[in-house]
Amino acid sequence: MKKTCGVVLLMAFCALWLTPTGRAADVASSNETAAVSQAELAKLLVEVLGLARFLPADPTPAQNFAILMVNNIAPQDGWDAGRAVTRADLARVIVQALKKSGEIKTPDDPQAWIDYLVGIGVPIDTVGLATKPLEPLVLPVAPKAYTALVDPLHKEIKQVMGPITQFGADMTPIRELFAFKPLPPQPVTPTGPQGARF
Amino acid sequence: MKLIKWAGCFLAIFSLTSGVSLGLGSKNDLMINNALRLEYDDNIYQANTNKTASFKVVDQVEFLFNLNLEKTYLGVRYRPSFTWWENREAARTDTFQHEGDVVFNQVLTPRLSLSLSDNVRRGLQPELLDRNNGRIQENQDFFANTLNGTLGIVLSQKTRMDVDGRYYFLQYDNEAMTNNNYRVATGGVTLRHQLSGRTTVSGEARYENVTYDGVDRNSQSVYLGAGVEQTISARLLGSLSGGLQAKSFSAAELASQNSPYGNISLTYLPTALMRLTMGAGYSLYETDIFPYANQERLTGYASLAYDLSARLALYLSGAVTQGKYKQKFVVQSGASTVQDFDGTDTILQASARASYRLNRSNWLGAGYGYTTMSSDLRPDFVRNQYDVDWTIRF
Repeated sequence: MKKTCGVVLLMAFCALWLTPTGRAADVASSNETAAVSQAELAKLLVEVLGLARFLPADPTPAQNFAILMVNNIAPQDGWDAGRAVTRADLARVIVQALKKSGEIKTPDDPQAWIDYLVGIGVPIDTVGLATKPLEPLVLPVAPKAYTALVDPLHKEIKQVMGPITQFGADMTPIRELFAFKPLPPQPVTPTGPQGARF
Repeated sequence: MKLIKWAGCFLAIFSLTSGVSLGLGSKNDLMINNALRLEYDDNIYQANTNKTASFKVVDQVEFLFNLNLEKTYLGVRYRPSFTWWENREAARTDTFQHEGDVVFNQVLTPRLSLSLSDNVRRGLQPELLDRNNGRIQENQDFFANTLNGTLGIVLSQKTRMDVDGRYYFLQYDNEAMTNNNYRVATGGVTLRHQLSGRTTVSGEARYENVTYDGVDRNSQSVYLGAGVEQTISARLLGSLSGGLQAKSFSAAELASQNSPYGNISLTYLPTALMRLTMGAGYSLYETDIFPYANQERLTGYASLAYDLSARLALYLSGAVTQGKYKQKFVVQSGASTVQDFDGTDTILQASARASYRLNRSNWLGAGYGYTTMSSDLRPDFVRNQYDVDWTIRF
């Protein structure tokens, strides 16, 4: 009986392992180009900008959205996990991640964000190419000490300040909330999408 | 220990002298930052009376490495810091500290993903000691590590299951601190279903085992709960979760306790230049105040960021944590005399900060931090810290 159960479980696991997701199957059958969802883009941005260390392992889309928002990175209509990324959304969040939003003269015009990126030589035809010039924020806004306050899987080390708190300890509970530093402008190297996911 | 200190010294000097010559430019997987801070602290020992004030000089180097491949992400950070006090009564007036973390994400198949993260701290955040021990932890001689792992399983296009594990331990070098050493092992399952692009609901089950060295304050908790994550509007994002927590103790004299737990957080962008975050949480929690084995902890926070210009930004934030300790959760500690009673421990933190981007690689900052503790169980204190800092990216 135990062996039978084990074999059934193993087969189920293998099936799960090898079967493509519903969306992938749909895409394969319809031959349409796989679109990148905003949830996938947010996950990539969190990793590229060095924000992943402030979140739990395998964060939810909402956790990725929240930390991007506090770093002032969001599409014009806000984050939507199920929505496909448009060129305008992509251009906006890349410019925001570069901390160059102030140089957009008409921020309500989606084309202005695209034109700006094209103007500085950043291609936005793929997410991989567009995110290539990004690198970790020097001191990002990261309310890591106060997110996931309760969940025992994700809660942080105690917020209690130590008797002799030093630089790191001083910064950990409270100051990383403010430790925001704009990203300096970076030359663009529009070569192959090394590390591109999409 | 000496080896670690010398390694920290070497890395600090190396980064300061060799950063530019490394040719670190626009497309680097390795990044090095250095932050120098001058600080005035009016209460370095967090004392109630007879406060000791001191200037501090702090230098912190940060090494960041990012590897982002098609199915793999690896992020590594190492952050040693050196502190020198102008007025410190302890034998040493300088210390080294270390913090490092690793994040590893791997897509195994279209349906399976693995995420691992580890954070290690050496001497960074010593805990306050219990009220029966007047000493303070002066040597920062502790070691703490948090290991998290998640196996993500896509069940359908809109439903996924996460199987999580977490192991945390805090270990003091000093044997006299044995009662403050503890380990927390946690396992859990989360089932998430995306109702729409803006709404995700979840159900969760957790098991947590807390083990203390020394006197038996060990406990086991089971959590059952549900949650929702909602993009309320283009500028407002919220999450809410809660459930029931059942906690039992190894010590025979302690009765088990059931309690609700909950967590709420909001992220709001009122304007294009302003970000606002706030939240609160309540649960039963482990305790660092011996001889208590349990606390009921309520925490709230809020922070506001405002960009005054493309170069200048202001940040305000505050957080309050209140722990309720009850006499019925005091363990018998043998011959020691303990003053066991109900009490509340409240910690308030507030901070203001300005950051100015000088040029492409340099930032200047100024900040003020306020911390106060009001407690029935240990001495109250108030602490003010003023600082200016300079950060450079190599």
